[in-house]
Amino acid sequence: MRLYFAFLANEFQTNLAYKSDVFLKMLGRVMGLFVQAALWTALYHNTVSAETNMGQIGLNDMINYVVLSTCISIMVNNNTIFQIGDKIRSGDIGLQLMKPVSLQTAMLFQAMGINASRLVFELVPLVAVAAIFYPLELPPVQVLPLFLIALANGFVINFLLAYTLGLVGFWYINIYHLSRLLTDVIKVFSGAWIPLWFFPQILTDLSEWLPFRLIYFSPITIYLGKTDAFDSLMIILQQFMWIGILVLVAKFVWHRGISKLVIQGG
Amino acid sequence: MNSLRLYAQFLSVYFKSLMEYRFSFFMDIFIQFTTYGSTYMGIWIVLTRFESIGGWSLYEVLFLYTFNLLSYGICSLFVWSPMRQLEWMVQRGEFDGVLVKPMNPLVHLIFRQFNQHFLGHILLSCIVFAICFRHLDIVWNAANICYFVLALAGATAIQAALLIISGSMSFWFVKSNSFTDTMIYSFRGFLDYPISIYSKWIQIFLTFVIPYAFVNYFPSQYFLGKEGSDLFHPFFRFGTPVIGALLMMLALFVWRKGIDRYQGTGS
Amino acid sequence: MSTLIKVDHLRKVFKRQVRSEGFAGTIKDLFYRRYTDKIAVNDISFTIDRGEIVGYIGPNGAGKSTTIKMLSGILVPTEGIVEVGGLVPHKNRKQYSRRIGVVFSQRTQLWWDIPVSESFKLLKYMYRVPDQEYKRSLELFSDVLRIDEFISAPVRQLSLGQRMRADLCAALLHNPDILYLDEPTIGLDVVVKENIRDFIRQVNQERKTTVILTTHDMSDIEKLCSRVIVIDHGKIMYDGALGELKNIYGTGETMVIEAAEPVRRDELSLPGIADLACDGKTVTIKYDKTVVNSTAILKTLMNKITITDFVVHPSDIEQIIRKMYENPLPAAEAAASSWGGKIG
Repeated sequence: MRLYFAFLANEFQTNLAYKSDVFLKMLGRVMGLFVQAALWTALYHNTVSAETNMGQIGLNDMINYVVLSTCISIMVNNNTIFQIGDKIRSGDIGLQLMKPVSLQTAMLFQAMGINASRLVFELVPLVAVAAIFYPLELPPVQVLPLFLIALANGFVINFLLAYTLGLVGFWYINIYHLSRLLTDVIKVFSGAWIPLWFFPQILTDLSEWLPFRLIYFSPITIYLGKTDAFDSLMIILQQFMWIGILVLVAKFVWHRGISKLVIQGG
Repeated sequence: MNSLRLYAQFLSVYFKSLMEYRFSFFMDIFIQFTTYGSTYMGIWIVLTRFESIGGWSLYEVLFLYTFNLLSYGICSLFVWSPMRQLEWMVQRGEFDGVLVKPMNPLVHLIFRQFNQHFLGHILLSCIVFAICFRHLDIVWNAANICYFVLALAGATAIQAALLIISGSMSFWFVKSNSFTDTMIYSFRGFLDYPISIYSKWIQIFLTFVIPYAFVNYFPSQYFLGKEGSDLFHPFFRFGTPVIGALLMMLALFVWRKGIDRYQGTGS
Repeated sequence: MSTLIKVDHLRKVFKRQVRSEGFAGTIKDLFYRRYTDKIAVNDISFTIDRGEIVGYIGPNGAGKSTTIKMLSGILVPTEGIVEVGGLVPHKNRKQYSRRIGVVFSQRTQLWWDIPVSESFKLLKYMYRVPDQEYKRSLELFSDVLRIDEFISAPVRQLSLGQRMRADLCAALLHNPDILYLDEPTIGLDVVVKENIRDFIRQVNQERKTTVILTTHDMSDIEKLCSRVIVIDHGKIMYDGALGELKNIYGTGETMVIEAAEPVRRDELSLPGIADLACDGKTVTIKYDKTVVNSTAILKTLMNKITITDFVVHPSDIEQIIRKMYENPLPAAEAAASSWGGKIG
């Protein structure tokens, strides 16, 4: 266990070193926030609130949604897929077989380290800046624990998706392509950019079958109080279910990948 | 001219090496479709649900967005890779090799490569433009066609100039790529929608400080007949070619200064 | 008398940022930067004639690379004159580049992913090399460097030795007047080194190409150069015939002996040697071969210890320079007499 925490601490420190990078990234995010907020303000110009299956969604909801989405992206995004891709390409992945450490767990903790540092150095400043310009809301206290659990689960789901796709690197070398595809799919179906409320029926139905909304859309709806306790628990349950599925898929891909490696060589 | 034949030579060599990885080549282009396609889809989703963005309808917003994408795609074919590579070339002293060749260094860097990824941007843009034109009432007389080409050229020049200026930062600062990311991607993000939806200060910034608004907003205002733009005088709509030329001159000046610095201080 | 390269009172000063100590210092540095001058090249002058092969040697950080960069037009001098064939390298860069070839160690100027032959073709176009000349050059390269063996491979697949050969050819494709080589044989094995040296010699003889070569490796100098310029801390220490240099300063030798059993220093007494060091079974002896020769030393030693192996190293550049610091005057006199007054 100690070992895993060492991974976490390491990544935390590494991230700290690149201060100017962090500042510039934050600047970029703040600008992105301005763009999104302006977009929704313009869209709501002639409407006070929009009717959706979760009740009325007003401009204020959307502003908070946008900020939350940006925050979640800071908390779940990391370079896991590239780390794995690099390991496979360089052949280090073979060394992994000889270590008493599970790659998946090690990578998970590394990811947690990265995101923990981003939480401190990127999220806090972002929220501070956002709070100056926009009316941010805090959720009612009873919602908070459910929200945090959903957030954590969302992180794990995102990690597993990145990890599994990274393992596809055993067969398809160009990790960059895989990463782009994942990002694009998540952008649409997770509600990270446009909430699922506004999707046409076909897309909403499609999203129900996919795990992506459980990373962004669902946790945000919990925070905004758009779901009652029952719905929130359902969301969390679905998250656990998907985590289970993805862990199995990852295991499967790993075994296939490793046997390919062992039989065919690097 | 001899330079063109030289460029053709470079390109044929580059494509030969690329064809080794045929599938990768097509994937490079395909992922542009997924990325920008999903953005287009998002715009379609919101504008089906809501009426307009700042008074701009669906096809008008698509026109605006595509003008940006197309000019970016064209300029990046030539200028993106060299400017990004500059950071490590300067760091590792690889830039020396460029200076001992009998060619203008900027031209040399551009000739050396050709970033086929951006063919995806261009292809997609053309498709969307074709769709937009059928739904918009733009009169395609000689003058308008002329100006469309000029404005596109100007927009491409603006994008190229900003990329070159960002890349030139490598001659002065170490981590220029992060700086470029912010300048190019983050600021350009504002162009996704008509800038009239932003605060006055942002609009002024995007017009007078970093003239991104000239890339797509002002030309679109002209072609889409957008009257009543509160902040800026109508003749700004014709500013794009001029701004493009001016900014390009500035970019070449900064680049020149960057090389002088490299030759003065080494790597 | 055909002076090709003229360097006169050349100086290159770099500004280096001085970093302050401690946390408070880092903050201060954000607002107020202090710079210090680092003098890389400090008032050097020499001329080189067409067709010479000149070795430009010195320890690391002596200013060798900086000089080459100024000669090839990459760096602009702080002070002084650089004139090559009537052109000022950094001022007439494009025109000048057509007439020079440069090879940097550890960096290739070829395109990474495409076959070497394609890189050559590109260079042919870039330098506007006539077809006949191009063919003749390729034939020469195949004959001497056997470049035809790997010319269709992309550069990334080549070994270091092959890459260096390919870079050398690339630099000579357009028949330049001058070839600048910056540490060309670093990391190469002996066979490849020999091959490259032969090639350079042949090119110099056939094409009268002037060659300036910086190196750390004395054997490069031995095999190729008749004239050497020694530079240290940005100043020229010696400019003249190699033979003279060795006679005056290169007389030091180092003998390394492996004994059958560990040796103690006080067990051995060797008259006339400069230095003696014992480390377990290894004995390192430094001496001047004009004072006592290796045979005598070995004879004395064999009476006292059992020798299993020994090796004699000639002076390396550091030793020569150290000696130069100790006795500068004879160099000036010797060089002046053998080279007609061309010293810095």
